[in-house]
Formats: sequence, C-alpha cells, structure tokens
Amino acid sequence: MSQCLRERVLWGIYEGEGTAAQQAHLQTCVACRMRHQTLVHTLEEISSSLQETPPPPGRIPRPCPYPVRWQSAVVGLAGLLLLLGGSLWLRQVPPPIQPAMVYREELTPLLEEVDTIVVMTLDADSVESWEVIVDMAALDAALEEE
Amino acid sequence: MHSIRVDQGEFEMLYRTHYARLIRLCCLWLDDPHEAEDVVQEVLLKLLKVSRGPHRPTAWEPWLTRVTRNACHDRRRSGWWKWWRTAPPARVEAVERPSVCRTLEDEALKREWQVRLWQAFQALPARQREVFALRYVEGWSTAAVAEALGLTVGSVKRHLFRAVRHLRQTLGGEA
Repeated sequence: MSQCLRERVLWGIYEGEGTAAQQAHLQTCVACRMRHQTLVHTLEEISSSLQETPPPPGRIPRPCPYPVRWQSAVVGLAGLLLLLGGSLWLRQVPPPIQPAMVYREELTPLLEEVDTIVVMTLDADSVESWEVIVDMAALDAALEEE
Repeated sequence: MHSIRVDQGEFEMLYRTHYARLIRLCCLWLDDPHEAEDVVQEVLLKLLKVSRGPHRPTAWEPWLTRVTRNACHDRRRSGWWKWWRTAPPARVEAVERPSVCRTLEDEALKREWQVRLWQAFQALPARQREVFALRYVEGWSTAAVAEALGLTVGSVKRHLFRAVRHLRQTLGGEA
C-alpha cells in the first residue's frame, strides 16, 4: 500500500503522463486501479455535467452590500444633519412681516411728515397770496386814480 | 460590396459555430447568464470588426476564446462586478430535462449533484476555472490551453490538478 500511487500521479496517468513503472503498478494494484477508475469517472461526469448543466439564474442584487447596521446608521445621520441644517436655516431667515405692520410702521410716519410739510407750505403760500392780493388792490386803486 | 457580403457570411458562420460555446464558457467563468450574454455580444462585435478588417487571425477558435476570456477578465475586475458578486447567489436550479429511463429519484439525485458541482466549480479561483473549462469542457489540449491563456504548460497542469482535487474533495470523490 505504501507504493500506491498518489492522487497527483493518478491524475498524471489520466493526462497521459505516467511512467512505465507507474503504468505497471496501476495494472497490478487493484486499489490504485479502482482509484484511477473513480478519478476518470468523476472527471468525465464533471465534464459532461458542466457541458449540459444550464447556468444558474441571474443573481439577486442586494440593495446595499454593506451590513444593515451601517445602512441604518448612515440614514439616521443623514436625517439628523438634515434636521440641524433645516433648523439653522429657519433661524437665519427673518419672520415674515405682515402688510398692515408695514403700513403702520413705515407709511404712517412718512405720511405724517408729508402732512406737516404740506400744511406749513399751504400756510406760507396763503400769507403770501394775501399779500399779493393786497398789493394788487392797491395797484388797481392807483391805476384808477391815474 | 462583394467583400462585405463575403465577410457577412463568414461572420454568420462563425456566429453559428461558436455562439453556444462562448455562452457556455462565459457562464462557467462569470456564473451569470445575463452577464454572459453581454460579454458574448461584445465579443461578437469585435469579431465583426476584425472579420472586416485587414488583420484577421489565422484561427478563429483560439482568437474568440482569448477575446472572450479577456472580456470576462475585464468584467470581473470592474468595481461594480465586485459589488455585484457580494450579493448572495441565487438559488441554483437545473433545467427540467425530459427523462427517458430515469426514475424521479435518480433525477433528483442527479440535479442535486449538478447543483453541488456548479457551486464547487464557482468556488474555484478564476484561473482554475478558466483552465478547467478549456481543458475538460472544451476538450482542448494542455498545450493549447497554455497558449491561449499565455501560461506555461506546467502552470496549466498545476492549476488543473488543484481544480480537480478541489472538485473531488467537495463532491466527495465520486460522481
């Protein structure tokens, strides 16, 4: 049994590489002959099966190759960042001002100022116009006398 | 115009002769029939270009095998392919073949053995799969395999024996 052929040699004989001594041993040793026949049978069966066997159906793609805990952690972190960013953005933007407030806070003082100026101007115009009228009457009287 | 017609005929002949063989090889090397279809389409496009060009190979079969093997190699090296291969393999199913004189039990055992064989074959390193497929599925000589893959004969034999030993160990040493 110690002189029995190794598997590599048996395969070499199948490939047509065995020496004369190895071939002779194969003819005399029943165990080696059985092993060789098994090897030949297996290789032939493998060859024919690989020629006949259809390929397996397409692989089912997994959404993400990384472990699920990484996926959930990444999603959670992204959500947290989104919330933080959103809150910061909301703080930076001033609250919307209603139109009534704009009217009260900006338009009212302007109108008051304009009103004051207009009233003052009217008063001044009225005094000058009276003076003008008075002057005109005096002129008319003088012209009539002439 | 005449030369184009001749090339078209030659291309069709090569397509009919080698298409099934190339698909089988790609399935063995890539373990994915859809990817195998894509790769063979690429190879056939190259074949069409080369068959119309001035630099034509002397023998089409080794050329086609070499181009197919390179295309599969490129496909395996791409990043998305590595990602894709991390996905769990789909359930392997053997095709229903009409049984002539086999019993149902024989058919079931045969199918189970084919599934185990396919899984064991796909567990081999890529180089061993290439060598084994060309030697024992395509029936090439060891020297032809070595020439096609750019290896030495000794290297081909080493890969072959390792593949055989692994398959026999996985399959229990008997078919």
